[in-house]
Amino acid sequence: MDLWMKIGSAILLIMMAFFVWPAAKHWIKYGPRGTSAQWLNAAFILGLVVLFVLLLIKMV
Amino acid sequence: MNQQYISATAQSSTLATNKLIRNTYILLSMTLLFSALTAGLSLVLRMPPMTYLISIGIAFLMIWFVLPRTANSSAGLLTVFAITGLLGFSLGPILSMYLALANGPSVVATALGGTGVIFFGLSGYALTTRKDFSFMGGFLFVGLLVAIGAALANIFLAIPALSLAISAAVILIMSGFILFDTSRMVHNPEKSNYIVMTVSLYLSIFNIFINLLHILGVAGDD
Repeated sequence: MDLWMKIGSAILLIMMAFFVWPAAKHWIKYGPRGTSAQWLNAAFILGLVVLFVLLLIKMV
Repeated sequence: MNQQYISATAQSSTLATNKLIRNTYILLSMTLLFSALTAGLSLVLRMPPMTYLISIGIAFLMIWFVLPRTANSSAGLLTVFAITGLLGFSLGPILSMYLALANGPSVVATALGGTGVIFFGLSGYALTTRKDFSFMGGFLFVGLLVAIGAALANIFLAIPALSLAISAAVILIMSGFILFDTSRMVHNPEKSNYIVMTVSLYLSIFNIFINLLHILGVAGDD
């Protein structure tokens, strides 16, 4: 990667972290807590996404 | 009397939800078409690699500084098209790089189709089951911060395996954000704005496509 691209990407990522930070803080502090059943359900759905991506990798 | 009031309130909430979902998906489909056009334009013009960073940089500056001020007015529509047009335009150099590979067209088509299936699958699931995924908020935002930190470190470390791991993590985080945003539209229509929701869902789709392209490009490279 070109040096200017590296510097530009780093600045952009630092700014992203800066703007995401308040939302992260808010959701950690005030966001609702999930039950174990809810987390299990979310993990199952995201597991299906992983399996689908693996299938796509096999296809190419 | 009280029951009638409760029923009317529930009906008005359902109407608000349906209106928000319809407006968001109409605007999302229009912005996706528009960004496909700008991506095609950038591809035809053979834009240099720096275009990617500059377009994304301007688009994010608009998301941070212009969108919050215009989201509640008609200027918000112009802003959302400018943002998604720029993000689409940024794809040109990346697409031309992948299309130059031996199986490039197949990799790009698979990434595009895969992104569509992931988005419609997750969004459809959240809409039909009407489950509340707001509990994932903290986890998703912290995951995003960790991914940003890892990507920042990898700019200078340049470890290919870490780059692939970040792409895989970003696909999962963005998939979670699709569930989170869709359920927010269903359960909190009063607090959601269709212009902001469109940009949010568009960014999830954009990130899934870019990172799926990265993983499939590496997997399909002989």
